[in-house]
Order: sequence, then C-alpha cells, then structure tokens
Amino acid sequence: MPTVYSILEKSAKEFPEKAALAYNGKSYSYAELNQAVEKVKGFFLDNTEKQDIVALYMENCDAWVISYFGILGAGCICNPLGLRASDKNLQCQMEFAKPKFVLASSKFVDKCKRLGLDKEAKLISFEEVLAHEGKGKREPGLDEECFNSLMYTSGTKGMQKAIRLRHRTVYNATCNIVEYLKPKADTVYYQILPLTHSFGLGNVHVTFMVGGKVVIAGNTINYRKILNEIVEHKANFFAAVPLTISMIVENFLDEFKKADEWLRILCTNTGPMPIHITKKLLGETKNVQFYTYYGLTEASRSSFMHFNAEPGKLGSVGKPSPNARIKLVDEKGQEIEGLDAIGQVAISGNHVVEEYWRNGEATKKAFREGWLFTGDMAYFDKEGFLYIIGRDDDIVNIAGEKVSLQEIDNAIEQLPFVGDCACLEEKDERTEYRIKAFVVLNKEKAQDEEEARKKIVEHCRECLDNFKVPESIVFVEEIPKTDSGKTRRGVFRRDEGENNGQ
Amino acid sequence: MDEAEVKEKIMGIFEETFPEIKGQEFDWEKKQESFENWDSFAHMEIVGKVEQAFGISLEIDEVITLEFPLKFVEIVLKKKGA
Repeated sequence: MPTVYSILEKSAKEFPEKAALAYNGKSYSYAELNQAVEKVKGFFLDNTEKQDIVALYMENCDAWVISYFGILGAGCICNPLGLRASDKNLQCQMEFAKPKFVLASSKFVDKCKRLGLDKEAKLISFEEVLAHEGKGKREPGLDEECFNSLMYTSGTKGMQKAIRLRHRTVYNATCNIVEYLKPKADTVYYQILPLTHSFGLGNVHVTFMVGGKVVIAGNTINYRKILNEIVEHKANFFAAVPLTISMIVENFLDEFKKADEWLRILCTNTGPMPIHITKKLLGETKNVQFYTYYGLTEASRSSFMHFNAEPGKLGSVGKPSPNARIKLVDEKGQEIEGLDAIGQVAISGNHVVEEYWRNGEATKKAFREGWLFTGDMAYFDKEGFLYIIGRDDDIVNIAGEKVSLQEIDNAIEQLPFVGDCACLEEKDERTEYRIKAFVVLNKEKAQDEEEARKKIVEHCRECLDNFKVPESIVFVEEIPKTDSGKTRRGVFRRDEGENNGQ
Repeated sequence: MDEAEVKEKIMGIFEETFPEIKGQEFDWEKKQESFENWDSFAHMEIVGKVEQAFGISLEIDEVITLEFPLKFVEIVLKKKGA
C-alpha cells in the first residue's frame, strides 16, 4: 500500500510541471516542490535512524510543507508543534517524545533556545537543512505500517494523550475524503487552517493526491482579504472552522458571493455548524457544495455530510465515510439500536489508530475489540444520519480545539491561595465558547480578589495553551462535589445556567 | 485620555496576550503574521480586551483591519474622539 509520502511522490511524477504550492508570492511546481523535499529528506537520511521523531516548529508557510514531506520521506515521524501550545506544554511534549531534531523556521529558533528545547533534541533551522548536500546514506525503509506523525489530544484527566498515526491510517483517511468529496485535478485549495491540525493538513494531502495546488494564506484575520484572495487565486476548495464561516456569511456575504463563482468545495469541522448560518449560506450561493464531517485525530473523517444534498438534516454530521463503521454503545459498551436512542459513538475502520502511545490506561479505556470509544454522545435518525449531542466527560470545544476542563482546574489549583476550582464553558459571540473559572479562595492564605485574579491569569498563561486561559474568573464559596470529592460539573453547569436565566 | 495612555494600555494587552514580547522593544508596526501566534482566536481575544479596557465597541469591518498594534491605538483614539 502507498504511504503519505508517496502521495506527493506520485503527483510529482505524473504532473511535474503543474503548480503544487504557493505562499507569499512564491510558487512551486510539483517538480520544484519535490526537489526541495528531496533536500530535506537527504538531510534526515544522513542524520537520523528510521522512525526517529523530528519535531517541526514553524508557522503556516511553504517551508512547513516541504519539511513535513522531507521528514516523512526519510522514514522519520513528524511531530508538528502547535503554535498555540504553551511553553510548558512544548517542554512536556519534548520530554515525553524525545525527538532527535527540532526543525524550526527562523521565527522560532530563538524561542526554541529560550525554552531549552535544544537540550532534548538537536535544534536546526530550515535554511541549514536546505544547505545540506548529501542525498542520504541510508534507505528510508518506508512502508504503510511505519508511523507518519505524532499528534496530541486532550485527555479527560487533563493529561494530553499522544497519538502516533501510521501512514496506512492517514492514507486511508485521505482516500475516504477523495472518494466522498471527489475533488478534481484542477483543485486549488486555499489554506487558512493550522497545518499542525489534522483538519488543515488532511486537506493538503487530498489536494496533492489529485494533483491540485495548495495556496497558503499569510493573513488569517482579515476575512475580506481572505475572500479576495480566493477570487485572485481562483481557489475552488476552502475549509474553515464554523466560527469563521459564520463570520463570513453574516458580515461579508457580498465578497463570499464573488468567491462562490470559483468555489466548488467548502468544508467545515471541529464543532457544530449553526443551522441558520448553513441555511443562509445554501440560500445565498449558487456553486459551492458545503460539507462537514465528524472525526477525531484518532479516527479522522469518520462521517461526511453534504448539506446541499440534505437540506432537511442540517444538524447532522452525516453518514459513515466509505470504509468506516460507526455504532452507538451504552455505558457497558454494548451496542444499542433503535431510533433516537442516545449512546456513545464507537468507530472502527482502516483509518482508526490502535492506541495512545505509552498510555496503557487510556488505551484500555478507549480501544476495545477493534473499536475506538470516542466519548462523544450521539443518535441516529431513521435514515441513518448521525447527530452529535455532546460529550460524556469534561472535554469541551474551544476555537476548534478540544479542551479538558479538568486540566484547567488542576492548573489553577496548583496556586497556594486557591482552595478549589471548577471551570465551565461559556457562550461567547466571537469565539463561540470561552472558559469561565469558579474559584474558592483558601481563607488561610487570603488574597485580595483582584490580585488573585491577576495571579491566576498569569499562572495560566505560563502553563496552559492560550485558548485554555479563562476569560473570566468568579470567586465563589463552594463548588458542588460528589461524595468521593469529584466535581459535579453537570450539576454546576445546570445551576449556573439557571442563575444566568438560560 | 491621551495617546500615551492609550498606547500604554494597548502595549499591556499585547504583552499579556503574547508574553514572549515582554522585555523587547515594542514594535508598533509589527504585523500579525510576524507574531509567533497571533491567529484568529488571539485576535478576538485582543479585540475583547481592548473593548473592555476602553469601553468601546468595534464593528467587524473595523476588527478585520487591526493588523498591527498601532492600528488599535488609532481606532481607540478615533472612537474616543481624541
């Protein structure tokens, strides 16, 4: 079976002259892209062993894509470091995975040194790698069972879980997307999503698989500019989180209609798409086909939904992808059936990973008899469309990232003047959700509330990723607990909702 | 509120959002893409803090043009009629 690296290799052979990548005024044909990738591959073939881990720390840019495929081509495992990750998170990831190299863009080299990331691994800049002359002393030894990348996802106890994705699972997920979306060879994909996230990176795989072109945006905050660039580049494939699509549809409809003259595929993921926005989008556009899907890093793109084809089911995430199986299970893990019966989503298929790396406890809980138990609660309607209704744990979705509320509680409780803490998600018109922390101050170590609030935010900024830092902090007398001392978050959430008149 | 006061508050908001710039000479014209992690989420965070700090409300058409720190100073001064 082919590998993720072979996606690019194959297209470079088939379409050497075709445009493959564009960023910041610079363009690469497939032959040129492959040539740059070969340089990176040569460096790692000369300086690593097969399946060594290489951490990649760069902003979205052409060098990211070149480095990623070069690392894979050398038979190494790419560990993309997220730009939103806190300093502490980065240090923990390095300590856990012990990569052989950290490959950084010039923008991040100094930060890597400052954080001491060069203690665990050899730090190298992209320019140094490109200057390497050798073509590789060893063979890559790459096959579909090799690991392709190392990603992290939130765990229920606040500890991140490491996921090693095999070439086989990523390749199969890519085939699933191509089979469903049917992008053509003239695909031009406009990329604003983080390349470090499987949503964005998966679309790059898809585009290269069909011999299309990836355009990486420089600016990701100016929606008008983004839409104008879609027109300028004649991009026909665009993907964004629900919040971005909502912002565009509600505020930049005229520009979006111009982009619609080119767009054929619009894809969203990471959270529910507001139904009224989807309705408006479908009503105001003529060409673009709008899709969402359901998936996790552990099982990417497990279902697909084509909104244009199913205007009566806009709240659904669709039906299982080609080659994916989805069932609903009860608390004992037994399959449940029947219309509208709510259960936990379990997934199996050739795109699903088999474990959390070096985490036997989490693996045992989530992976059983070939099924991944996701923690997402859902139901099927009579036509077999899947509807996700929430989680059975403390994970919430903030700005497209899964966030463990327990992790934030734990971080705040480290402060000596905090007696207890429980965080909840709170609706926010701009970021969809934000974190609200409820804190019980330790009376013996009394602090002025304003001072405490400042210290909590400072502490969270040091040890948590930026999207996990509470937007608001409320001081309370007590937090509801079970007899065993566990936070009764469900009760707390309900009580808070009632207090706020929701 | 004069320009110096506005600048001090805006600088504080940027340093709180991007702790890595603390201790460096503040570059008022450093663009979004030159920051380590000024993404759309961080952008909305800064906008929210600026609105709160100055008691103003920004329209989305204004929000998307705030591509470097000086732009925030200009919009605050304009809104405050300074």
